Amino acid sequence: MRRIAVTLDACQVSSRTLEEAVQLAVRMGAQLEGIFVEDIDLIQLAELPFLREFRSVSRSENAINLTRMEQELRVLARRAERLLGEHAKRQNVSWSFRIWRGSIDTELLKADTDADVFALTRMGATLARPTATKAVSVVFTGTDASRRALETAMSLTTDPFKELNILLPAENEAEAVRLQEQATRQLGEHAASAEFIQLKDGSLNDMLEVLSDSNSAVLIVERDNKMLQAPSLRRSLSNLNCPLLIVR
Amino acid sequence: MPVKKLESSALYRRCDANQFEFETTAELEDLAELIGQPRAVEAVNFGIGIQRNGYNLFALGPAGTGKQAFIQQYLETHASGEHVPPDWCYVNNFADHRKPRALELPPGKAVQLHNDMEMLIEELGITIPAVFQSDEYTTRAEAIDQELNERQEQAFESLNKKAEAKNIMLMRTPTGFTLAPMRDGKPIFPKEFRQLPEEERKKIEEDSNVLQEELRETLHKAPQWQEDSRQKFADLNREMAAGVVTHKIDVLRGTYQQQEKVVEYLNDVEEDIIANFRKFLPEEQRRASLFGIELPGQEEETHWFNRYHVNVLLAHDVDGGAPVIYESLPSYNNLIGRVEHTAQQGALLTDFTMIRAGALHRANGGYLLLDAIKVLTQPFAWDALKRALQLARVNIESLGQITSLISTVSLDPESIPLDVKVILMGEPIIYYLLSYYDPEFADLFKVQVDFGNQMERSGDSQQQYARLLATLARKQQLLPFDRSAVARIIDHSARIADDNEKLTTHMRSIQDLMQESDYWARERGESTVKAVDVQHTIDAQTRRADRIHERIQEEIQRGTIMIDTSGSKIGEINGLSVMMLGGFSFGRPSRISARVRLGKGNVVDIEREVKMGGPIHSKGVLILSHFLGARYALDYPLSLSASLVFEQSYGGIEGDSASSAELYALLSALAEVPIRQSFAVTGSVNQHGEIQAIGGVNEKIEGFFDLCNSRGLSGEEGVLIPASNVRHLMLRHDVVAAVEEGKFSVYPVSTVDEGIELLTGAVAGVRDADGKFAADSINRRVEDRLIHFSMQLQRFARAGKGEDDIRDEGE
Repeated sequence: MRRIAVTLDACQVSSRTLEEAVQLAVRMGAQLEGIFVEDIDLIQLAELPFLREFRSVSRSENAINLTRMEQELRVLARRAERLLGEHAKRQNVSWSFRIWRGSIDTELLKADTDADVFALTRMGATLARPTATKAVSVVFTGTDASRRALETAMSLTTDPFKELNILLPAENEAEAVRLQEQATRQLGEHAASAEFIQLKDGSLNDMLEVLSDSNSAVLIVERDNKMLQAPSLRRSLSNLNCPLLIVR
Repeated sequence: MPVKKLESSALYRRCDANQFEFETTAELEDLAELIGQPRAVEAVNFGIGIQRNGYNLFALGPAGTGKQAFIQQYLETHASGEHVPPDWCYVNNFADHRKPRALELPPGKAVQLHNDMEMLIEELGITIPAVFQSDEYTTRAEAIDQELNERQEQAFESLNKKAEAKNIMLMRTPTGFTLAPMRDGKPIFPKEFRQLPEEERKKIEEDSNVLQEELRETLHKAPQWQEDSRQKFADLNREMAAGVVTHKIDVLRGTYQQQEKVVEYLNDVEEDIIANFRKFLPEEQRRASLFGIELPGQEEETHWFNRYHVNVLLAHDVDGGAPVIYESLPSYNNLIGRVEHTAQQGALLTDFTMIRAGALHRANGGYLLLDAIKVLTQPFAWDALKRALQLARVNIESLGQITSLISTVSLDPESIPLDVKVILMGEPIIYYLLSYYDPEFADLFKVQVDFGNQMERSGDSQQQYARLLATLARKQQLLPFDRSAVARIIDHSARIADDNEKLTTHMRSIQDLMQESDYWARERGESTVKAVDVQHTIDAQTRRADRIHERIQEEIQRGTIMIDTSGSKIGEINGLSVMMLGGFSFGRPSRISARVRLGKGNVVDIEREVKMGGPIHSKGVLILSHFLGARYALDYPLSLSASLVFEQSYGGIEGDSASSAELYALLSALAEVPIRQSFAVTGSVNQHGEIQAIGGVNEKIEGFFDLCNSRGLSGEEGVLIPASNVRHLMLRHDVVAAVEEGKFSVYPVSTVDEGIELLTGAVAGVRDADGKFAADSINRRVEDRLIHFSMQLQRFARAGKGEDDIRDEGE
């Protein structure tokens, strides 16, 4: 059975977000692993005496207190575990939960353990955008991992009217055509609703530009995608306006 | 002059079947009008015609006289030509759900409004989602969202850029934001920070303070941006919803433009739908989404859309006339309507769709028939009916609220104007009691419709009666009745009326007789009902009911109950009483005995002494003592002590019909002249010795006849009845036959003297010129005995003896 790991940070502990994570597992017929991320960078910074915290709802502010912050993180982790359990039970999904502490920039990708799909978001953003988005975008390179990424994308577009954007990293037209043919064969009847977009250099900026135009709901990439090798993952995720699914 | 016994023709007034020109009732036309009730018909005509407050009707008469059938038929005929009353609906009150609004509509329009509203909601269920799924809406909504996002992002981006320029990073914390120093895109941790030169540390702190101020400002602006965005979004939603809703409602406003309240209601509906447009969106649109892909959500409230339903309380056919409603169970709720509840998880819920009409609603604009006794015996029903009539409005209130027993929140529906003519039906006693005890009754029920239980018997009325029987036979789908059967029913009708000059108007008895006759005729395989079937029915009815009668007769035969029908006895006489058990009456002979002795002039009624005699019986006995005093002891004290008793009577005795028999027994005892036991006597007596009419004369005669007949008639047996009761005679055929053959006699008696002469065979005697009764006459013997008692008393008085001594002497 497939397994999907979903990361959650302190800003994402809401019933809706966790329900979405469970729904993702349902759609993919996978076991679910919830990973609550405690950003070690933030915890270490708390020791700086002049740092102040500004509350977004109450608009109050105070000095950062490490003990309190850790307590708040534990509370949120417990809440995340409870909500995830409730939603998973309701949908009859097999699930597990763990807390991961580390640096988002340097270590987060190592947190996925052995999951087939690893879901990441811009830390501090919800999985889904509040406005209705229509497209599922997937990067197809013709590798086995990218074929699995395409398969995952197809499982998320059971509605034939949902758009499927297939991003083809190809330096020339011939390579793009070859990849398109491969993808089309795999898509079968889904091919009709698929749109193929060539990525000239396959850089992060190129990809962000395409995703911005296509208004994607999610981006699916294989584990070895170049984008994931960017110097700061935090910054990459921050610039990506949709969740990222990493497929092994 | 001796009393002549009655001829057999006087005992039974036979209806001559030959007077009818028809063979069977199938040839007769239906009778449209009510016969024998001219007063009632006149009152109904008046009561229905007058249109003033309080002119409701009370139809009083014995049960079974056909009051309801007549009034209902009358009203249905009358109401069919009247204008149809308006329809009524209850709809939601959007300002206060507890107080549903009542809407009045022209006949037939309520259902139309109901259907129109159903259609409206169904259509909006399609058009509203379509509008909110349109490109226009999506684009405009996303633009608003985008504007907010851009505004926020720009603010944070601007802040972020300023921060990055100063090597400071904007970071999220579990509950907010913070600004941290960085180098090469990565945070500077405390250990590293501490190793920085002091000047640089100060610079970072200063920059951080400046940026914190900007962050503070940005965070304070964010709620206002969100509020602006929400308002724009709400305006957009309202604009989009109104675009589709107003158009649809406009069509309905045009349809119902004549009904101002309906238009007001539609305006409210429009406002409410626009405010709640989201409820019309398909469920999936309200579910959570996964990357914009719709996901299953929670169940919606299924009853929410009830708020737009139209509860049709009353709907009329356009050409249906005014309603005529008979409420067989006039309970409080059945009269004024109710608010039903539904149980959900232990709680009782209700809304305006659960308001149900009562009989007053259904009869509004027409007529409501009610049984008075049922209304009076149902808790709170009478008060509710009166209140509705007084206020001319129907206000649905739950009993719980009225009695303050339940304090839960319930509905308080708007009351509905009431214009109804109520016809109460009941026994006369109910009418009289209400008139006496309820001061409001006379104000509300001003028309008395008095149904009698008898009608005149004449040649014409018998012809009418035949048509009545024909009508009933057809209605009940009975076999036709031939003229002999009709004649027999008319005879029996007179017997039921207890008067050979009257016919009963107790239709239930007649209907029962006809239905059972039909049964027996069919049993015999006949195609018409004949007199023999009617007679068989009468006999069978008697047979079914006369077990007690038979048992009493048997005990008399066996001597357990001692009644002599031959020989003569002093101070004993056969009296006659009527027993009524379950609607069946029969005569029962009883021995009445009298004993006399010296005393202080009182006649003791033993029945009264032991509280087995009713007041009317006691009155009769008291009259006797005054008759004796006035006739025989004018000039001296009545020094008699007499006792009267109904022998072997173990139940109560009421009525004065035995007072003449008691007087005869008393006279016999005083005169010491025996009474012939072959006679039985009935009739009451007044202080002048005149015999007065009594009830149940037929049953009494038949009761004694049955006893004598079972012992064998010798020709001596007979009954003395008041002469004024002769017109009431409708005796059984076997009694009439025995009289014809001279085996039984019925004597009409007018005075005590006539009676005592018949009973004793002796002359009663009249006073001569000297004021003396003839020697050896009954009256002389009585007077002499009373004088003797008086002298005796005076002698005792002179001797100074007390009352106890007198009693000892007397005994």
